[in-house]
Amino acid sequence: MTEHEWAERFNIEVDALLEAGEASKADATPDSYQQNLELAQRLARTDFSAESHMRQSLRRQLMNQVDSRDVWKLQPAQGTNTMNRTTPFAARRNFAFVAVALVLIAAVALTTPGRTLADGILRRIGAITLSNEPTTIQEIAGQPLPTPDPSLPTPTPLVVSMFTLEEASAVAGFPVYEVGDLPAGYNLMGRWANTLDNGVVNVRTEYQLFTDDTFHFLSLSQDRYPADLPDELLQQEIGDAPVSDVKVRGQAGLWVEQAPLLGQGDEGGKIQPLGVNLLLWEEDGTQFTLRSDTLSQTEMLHIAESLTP
Amino acid sequence: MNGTAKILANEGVLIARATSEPSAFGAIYNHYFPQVYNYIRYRVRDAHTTDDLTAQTFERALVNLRRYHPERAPFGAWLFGIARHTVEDHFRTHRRRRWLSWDALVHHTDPEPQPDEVATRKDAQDALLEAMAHLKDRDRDLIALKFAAGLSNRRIAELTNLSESNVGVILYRAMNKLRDALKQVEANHD
Repeated sequence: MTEHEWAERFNIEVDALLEAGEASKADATPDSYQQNLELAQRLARTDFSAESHMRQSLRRQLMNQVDSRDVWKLQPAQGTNTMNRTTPFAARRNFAFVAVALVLIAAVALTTPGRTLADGILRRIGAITLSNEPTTIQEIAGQPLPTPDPSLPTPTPLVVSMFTLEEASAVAGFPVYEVGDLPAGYNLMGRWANTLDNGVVNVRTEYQLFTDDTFHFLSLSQDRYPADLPDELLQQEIGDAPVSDVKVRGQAGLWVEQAPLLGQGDEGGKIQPLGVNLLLWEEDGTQFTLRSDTLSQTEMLHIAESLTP
Repeated sequence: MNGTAKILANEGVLIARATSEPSAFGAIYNHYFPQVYNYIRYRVRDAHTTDDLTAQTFERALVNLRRYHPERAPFGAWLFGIARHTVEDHFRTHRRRRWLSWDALVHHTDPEPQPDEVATRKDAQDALLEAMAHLKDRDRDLIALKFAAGLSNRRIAELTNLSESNVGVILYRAMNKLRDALKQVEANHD
């Protein structure tokens, strides 16, 4: 038999397998052919969906949209495409803002393990060490910004998976907090909880103020670290950003002003650092970090005081 | 087989009512969630990304449900068309902003498993995903459309712009490659 004939026979038997749920025993076929049928059966029976963290919360969210007709508010006008609801400029700008936010989130994340522990240790707060070493964004500053491909479709609004407080607390193993008194215009955008292989437990709650003209963010992290985690994984570079002592929820905390953790493109298409304000403290064995591009120390302290589980 | 192996009972009625009745949409969601999740899981490997892309797929499907025409394609084929575009959009975006990938940086904070940890990870699902990762994306796409989505070769051909006979041959070759890769992965784990 030629390869085409084998392929044709194989596909007929696979379709029968998908209908019946079992592979037939093919007579007078090479072992490899029979192994392929067994592999097809294994593929058809494998189900990864139990590992999903958002199956029920997404179902609730979508059913609520149907119930409240929110979904139809997203509908474009008749004859237009959902992908093109915003102008190309607005879409590119919005996408840039999202990308900037991702840079921020990424750059604020713990340092990469390839680095060595910095000599320039500034302060310690809980498990975290702040150092005046250059940040990741500072290291790549001046490099060309990736150029968006104009042929690519306009990005659709981001849909993020959202844990409820209960779901996030269950994954984390400790109470997850939310901001009780959000600044005007800010909305909850997402909540994630994750346990990494190295034992780090991370919960992140994102709020954004997002209009046609403005984008600002507020991010709350709650992290727990195993005692044997290497120091270099607990280091946060902040460049030459000033650090001051503050009292947060009755705990000793640190305020970092405009640490260069955020990236944006300049007019020449090069990456330039932007500042992020950080409020850090430890409470009940959990490392808390509030991050914002624009909120002041007074506003961030007020937000911290409003946190509730 | 009419193009989608696992048809939901009363699917046509449920789809017609799903734009106004949460329970109808919930029934469709319950039925298709595992298939959509598994399709995306085979293509992207990472469970958290799979969650996000599955959410995007159902959100897009809900927003566009009124434009679905049953006479053009079975609902499953339409839904997996959306899932496929969602994955492709993700790959394009990921390539474009690889330097600022959140996943990549989180991964940096999570050290690679030690060899002894890898050796103990014998779970059949992990082995299957690891073997799938050795295939080209087009091969993963076809295998996922066939076995996770349960689509016929004709429907796969319509989604991928390949001929039906080409789909059959590529799928057959992809299965040969997957079988070899799986043997290698399982041998490494033993």
